[in-house]
Amino acid sequence: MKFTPTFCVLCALVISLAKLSAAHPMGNFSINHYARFEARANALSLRYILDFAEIPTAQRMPQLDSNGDGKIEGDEKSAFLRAESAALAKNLSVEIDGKRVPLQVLSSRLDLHPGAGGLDTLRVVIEYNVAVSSGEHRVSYRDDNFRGRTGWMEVIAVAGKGGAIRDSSAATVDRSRGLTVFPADAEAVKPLQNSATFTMTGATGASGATSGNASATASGAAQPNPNPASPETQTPAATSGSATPQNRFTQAIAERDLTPGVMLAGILISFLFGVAHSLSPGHGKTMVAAYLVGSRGTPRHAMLLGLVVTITHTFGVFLLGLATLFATNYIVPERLYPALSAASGLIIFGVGLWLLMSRWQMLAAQQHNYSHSHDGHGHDGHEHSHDGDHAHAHSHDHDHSHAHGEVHSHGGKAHSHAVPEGPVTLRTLVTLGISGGIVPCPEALVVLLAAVKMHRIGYGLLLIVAFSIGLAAALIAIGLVVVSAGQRLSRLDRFSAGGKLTRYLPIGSAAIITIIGIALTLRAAGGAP
Amino acid sequence: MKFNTKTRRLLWIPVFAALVGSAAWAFVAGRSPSRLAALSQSAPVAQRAPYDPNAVHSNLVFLARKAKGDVGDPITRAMLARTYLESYRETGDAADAVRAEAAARASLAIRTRHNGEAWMQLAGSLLAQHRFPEALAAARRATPYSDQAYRQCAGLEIEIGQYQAAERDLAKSPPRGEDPAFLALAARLLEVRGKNADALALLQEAASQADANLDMPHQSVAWFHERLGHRLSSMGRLDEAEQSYNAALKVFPRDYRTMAALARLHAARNDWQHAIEWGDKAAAIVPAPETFALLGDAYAALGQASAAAGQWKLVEQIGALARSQGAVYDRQRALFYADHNRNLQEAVTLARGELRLRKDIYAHDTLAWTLFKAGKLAEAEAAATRARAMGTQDATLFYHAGSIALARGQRDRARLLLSRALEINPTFDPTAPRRVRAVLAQLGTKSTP
Repeated sequence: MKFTPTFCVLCALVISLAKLSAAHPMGNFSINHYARFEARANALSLRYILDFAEIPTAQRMPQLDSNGDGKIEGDEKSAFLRAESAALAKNLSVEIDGKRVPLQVLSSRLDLHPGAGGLDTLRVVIEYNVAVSSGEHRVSYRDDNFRGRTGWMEVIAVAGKGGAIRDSSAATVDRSRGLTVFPADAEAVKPLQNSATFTMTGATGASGATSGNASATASGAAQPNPNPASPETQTPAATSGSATPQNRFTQAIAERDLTPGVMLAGILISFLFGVAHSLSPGHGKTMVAAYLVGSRGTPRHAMLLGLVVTITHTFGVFLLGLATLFATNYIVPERLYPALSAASGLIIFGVGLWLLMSRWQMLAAQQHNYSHSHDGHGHDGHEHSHDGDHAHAHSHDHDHSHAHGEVHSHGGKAHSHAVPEGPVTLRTLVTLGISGGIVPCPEALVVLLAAVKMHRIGYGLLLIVAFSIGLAAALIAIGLVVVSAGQRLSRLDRFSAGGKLTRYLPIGSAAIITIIGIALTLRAAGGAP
Repeated sequence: MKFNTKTRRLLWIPVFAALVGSAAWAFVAGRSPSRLAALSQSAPVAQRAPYDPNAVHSNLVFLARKAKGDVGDPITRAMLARTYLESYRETGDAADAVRAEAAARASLAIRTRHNGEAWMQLAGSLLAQHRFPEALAAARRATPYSDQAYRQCAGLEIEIGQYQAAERDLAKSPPRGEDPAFLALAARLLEVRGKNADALALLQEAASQADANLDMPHQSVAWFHERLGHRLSSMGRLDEAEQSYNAALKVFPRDYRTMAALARLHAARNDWQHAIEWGDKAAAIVPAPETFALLGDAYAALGQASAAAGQWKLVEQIGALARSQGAVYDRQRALFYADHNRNLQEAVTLARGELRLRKDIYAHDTLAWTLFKAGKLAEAEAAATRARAMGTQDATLFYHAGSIALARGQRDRARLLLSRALEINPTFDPTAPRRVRAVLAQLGTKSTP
């Protein structure tokens, strides 16, 4: 059997179709709870989400499909939501300054998603408004719905426009992104919080409290972490370090209503995040710069190196996403990250070491064979070699001086006495590029997985491509700046071809690449992605 | 008053004796604080702290944070695995068993040798996932480090029907002082051998020892009472069984297994309302298919056909869910299909799949019953014979064997087997005993009440 690319793609598709019917990540009888409070100047809102896995959805189906025809019509949904919103509110206790207050339903929606075994999973989202007067209030919350049933239980309290939260026992970090992403590893313990207390204040009286800003309320989606959580406001879950990466890029996939404007904004945000992300640690910026400086790369090389990093990075996201979705029984992404990081580090180390050794050998060979001084001397007809590839015999009967590295000619053949940096080979460029981009960033992976989970695969891919283009643009720009700066510097005497600095620059750049490789490998060995 | 030298010497004797006596008492009392507490009427009697539903979760959060903080720590990861298993036993959440496996494997990835605890937790997590051969292999890896691992091997061997190996392994891990876990395993082996009275005595002792152990987790104490309840229930002693189940719930109020057991107990009494009440409570925590099946039977017995159909449909849907995830063995579902005369071919397939995985007496019995319902009587009789090969005195085994014998026209054999079923437990099923009595009446045998 031939493992052609087409065959592999087909296999991946078959596997993906099979796995898409996998059961709910929190177990097929779980009921998962999510409550997100947002305090504003004179208002408190509560977004309450219940996510029913396959079996509890099947249990509720007779109420949902009231006429029993196997189809859920619009009026059945409405009737179910009316009854459900009221029934759920009975078991949701919100007290303001010790007095229970009614919950006013602002909006509600339900979605059925295909689960395992031909069964659906049910997701109910209800937006409640809690009437509060201005000033400071102590809020107590308790959720007694489906007590005893296993599942994820998360309570979040964040500040919105003109509001502030303090003395909170609720989390500030949205770990599950509104019950769309469930960390699965053993060290990410699911939260079981069904109650919380916090103090909310209006903006004017918010001294010492974390206050919200306009951007926190601009979007209806849950905010990643509008207030940097102080230790006393962090729940164990929030401090566990297992939070899913969150920013405007990862949120873009979760926007509720995908209008063309929202999509365009999402793509633009993803591009900008790609640019910004390339400037964060990793992705081989230093390595790109060091290599291009040391090997006297051209703008073409800079573009090629940037593109290879980006393409590898994008493929890395897709591959790890596929591994996460379809091979979780065999490959644990949390294990794969350090392995990829270590592989990347080792490759960079290997390339750096190879460059260092070859350039050092060339320097040594040059110094060995070139046993005379060029500092204002005369040549008297001896033979010498500048390096193995560049041996020639020549005779001078004139008096001149030239610095090492300076390009000069002895009879028509131009050459330099600087440490030869070796040619910029395609193989080296691609190897370095792959090693720089092999570790995909968690944000892009989150977007991919959320896209699959939310059945927005096309949009998710678009966001990742935009992110990657941003990444490429930034890396290429860095490369071009480095190349351009190198060319300008080479015009100065100190950096001219014969200068000492220039002579040892290739060795320095190779050493930097080697050190980057060692640092990345050690970092990966220490467990950092 | 003046004493002469001889009298003074004599006076030293009681003083010396008192000192020696005090020292001896202090030594004995110091070694046995519980006895000291018993002797001292004024000392407060220690009591088990009430069940804290957040305790296990708090431990999980603590250990997970500790594990994250030290990537090279195998001990914390083994403890994390143990705590996930504790959580699994409390909640029935299979995802916790999977996480326990991951944590145990993470521990073993750091340290493979001299890490018996991690091997044992790995075995426990695999057992929870019904991956018996792998679980046994993992438990065997732990035996060089802990004789408790032999006990774990014995438990697993009982599950897969290797009873003699289980007896050998249990002998390698003798009881240490008060050891209810040993007693429960020994009782299980006695039950298999048909020594129900001896098994009952051991289980009663185990439950009282578990009660006395204030350090034992609540769900573990409840398990011993639940186990005792099952033994009493299978001997037809329903009132005592109910007391035992209530004792379990007193220690561990959210014990969904005991709630389901109480539902079965009330069903055996034909007290359908209470059966539904307990069944609903159990299903609200863990919606197990066998609970829905029982609820369906209860509604059917009350004439509520629509409600019964709804519950049975849930059993079917869970079956579809299991099928979609590749489950090819499931004795509960096989028995449900056979009892309700539906999907009989699938029932036989499931029973055969179960038998490939586990060759215990109940796997043979399940196959016998499904084959009987599918009309394959000769094969059913052979399987039923294998199910009783160890001499197990379980009314259901005799009922199934008797029904098969009757279908094959073996009237004397059927009479003998069915009579024995009623002798062992006249309430072994909510409805079957009534049918057995009718059959015995037809066969000309007066059955026990």
